[in-house]
Amino acid sequence: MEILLVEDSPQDAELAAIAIRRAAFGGVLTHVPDGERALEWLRRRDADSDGNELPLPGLVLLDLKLPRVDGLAVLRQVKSTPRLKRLPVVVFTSSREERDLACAFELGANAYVVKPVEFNAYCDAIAQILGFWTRLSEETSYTTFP
Amino acid sequence: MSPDGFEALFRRSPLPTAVLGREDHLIRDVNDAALDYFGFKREEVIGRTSTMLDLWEDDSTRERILGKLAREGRATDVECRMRRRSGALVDAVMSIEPLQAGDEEWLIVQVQVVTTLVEAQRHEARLSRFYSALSEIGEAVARIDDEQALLQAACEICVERVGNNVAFALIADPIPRIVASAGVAAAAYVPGVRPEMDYQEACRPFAHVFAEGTSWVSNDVPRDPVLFQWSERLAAAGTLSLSVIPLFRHGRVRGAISLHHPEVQSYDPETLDLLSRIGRVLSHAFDAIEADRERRDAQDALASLNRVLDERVRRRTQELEAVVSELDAFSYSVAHDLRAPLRAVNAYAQLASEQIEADPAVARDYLDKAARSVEELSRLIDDLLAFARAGRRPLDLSSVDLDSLVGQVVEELKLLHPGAAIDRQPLPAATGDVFLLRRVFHNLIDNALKFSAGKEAAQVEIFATEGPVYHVRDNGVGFDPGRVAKLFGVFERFHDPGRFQGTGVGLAIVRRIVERHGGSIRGDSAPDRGATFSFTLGGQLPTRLQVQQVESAASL
Repeated sequence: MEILLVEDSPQDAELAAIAIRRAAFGGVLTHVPDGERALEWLRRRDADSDGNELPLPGLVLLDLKLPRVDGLAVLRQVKSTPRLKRLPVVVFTSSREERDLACAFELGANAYVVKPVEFNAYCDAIAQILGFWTRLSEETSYTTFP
Repeated sequence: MSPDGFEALFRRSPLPTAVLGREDHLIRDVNDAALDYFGFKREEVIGRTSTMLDLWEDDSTRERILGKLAREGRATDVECRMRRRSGALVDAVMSIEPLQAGDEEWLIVQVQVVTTLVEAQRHEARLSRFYSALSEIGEAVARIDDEQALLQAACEICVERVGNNVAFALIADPIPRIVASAGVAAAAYVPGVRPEMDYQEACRPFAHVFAEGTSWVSNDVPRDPVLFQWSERLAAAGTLSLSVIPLFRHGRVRGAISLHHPEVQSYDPETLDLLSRIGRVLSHAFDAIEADRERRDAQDALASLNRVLDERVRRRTQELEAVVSELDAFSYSVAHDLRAPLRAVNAYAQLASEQIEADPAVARDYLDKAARSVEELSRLIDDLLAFARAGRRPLDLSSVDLDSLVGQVVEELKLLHPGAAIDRQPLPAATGDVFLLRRVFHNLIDNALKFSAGKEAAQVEIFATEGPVYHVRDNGVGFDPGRVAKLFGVFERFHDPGRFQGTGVGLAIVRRIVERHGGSIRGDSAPDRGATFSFTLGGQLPTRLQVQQVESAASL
């Protein structure tokens, strides 16, 4: 199991890493600091230079406000690429804006979670995301490839 | 017959009748019919002879009649040809009867006017020409909606159809001047007549028409005393009859048409009536043209006012939308970006307190991070305040020496970026708020230095082009032109926070200041190709093409 964390703030990335570790996540956590590199990384997984498909992460934690390519643009790209669109993408952001929420779901986000300011609540939110999406993704892969 | 009875008969007779001395042939009295017919005033004829008045075509006629009178004591129904005061010859039948009253002996002379068939036909033909002229002018009125063109058409019709040799039109606005003419050009036609100068003094007809608003006619130009010296000149140039018809606007005389005819007695009462009708038709047409023009002008004015209002509403709406969307972006950014360091402070404090006993060194590390997050929060707040100030601070406008201002900014920034290559061209002075303009150049040059810092041979250039348009260019990492719309937003960072420091407020402040000076700004770039920021302090930037030409020229 692998998680891709797309997060520009170094502090937020560190906090997310701590929270994920606390949620007893045993897989690989990959962090990219902007949208452009997120897409580059995902494309490389979609097909390498020889055209081979590599394993996709089980979950993408996507911040919205990012340098270079913003979160919603990343989401649009992912959800309009044949293989990548199956990826569970959880938007994880400070934004409580209605339009961000609406836009994210419109583009096919699998969940939208507002980052809590209080650290314990923050860790709980991460734990719930992981608890839900990592289990679901295991079941999904089981049923998709019996 | 009683003398009273004779008197009444004499006065009222429609036949021209005169009473002459038996021996001296001096005219003692005439009736009105005679005065009308021959065109004299009473005082001109009383006490004079027919010879003195030049009434005979030739002496032989006179001698023939006098001979008959001497032989027979009377002359009855003698056909003769006589001359009117105007010089026109008329056929008449004359009868002379002696009359004795007391000691006095008189001759009663009576003339029967013979209107020949030819004369009647000629009159008919003239009337018909005037009628056709009137109807053609009516057509012209329907066709032409310009005053001057209409007058020109009317003059041409009067010359071509009525047989006038000259027609010209004057319009007083307020000095009368010739605006249309046909036939021989009016000015060349009467040397020395300049209606615009002379109409009041020298040329009585115009003075009459302008003062009285009625037509003026002379059917015998060479003998008309009113015309003074002009009668000779007009006659020499071929005008024997002259009529001047007033043109009106809103009931007031505004101009006149002057018609010149090469024959005497051209304008009889009937033709004059037609001419004044032509004048009235043209006058009505002028009023209609003016009303139409006023209506069109009013419509145009209304339409242009509407356009101005539309444009103003559109611009205001645009400005308002821009303000609203800026505010929107601003509050969004504040909500998003101020929360991030708050969250970090909370988290590091929590982590520190968890570790404080187990591992004090780790706890201290967390506390340091919390402190750094607080500093970041403080920086964000400072920048937000600067941004708000850039928008709210009243503009203190003065003439700003941009050369020395940019010189100071560059010196300051060189302390922070030692060894930076900054090429500074002379800049024209500008009118603006010196504090805010310093901020503009500081932020732009600081950005240029920051984003070119990693480069070998990093270079920052500051220059101005025609307009003036001010440019700050670097050869640094540049930015994705696809995201240019977000370039000037609050807290928009285009690069990794780890690699380039900054809160993302600098360019938002720059744009706000530039726009408050009435100017505009934009950035041109491609990743790793450097960036150029160009702005004006009033007015729009030239189109993209022009700037690119300027840039490529500047980079040669």
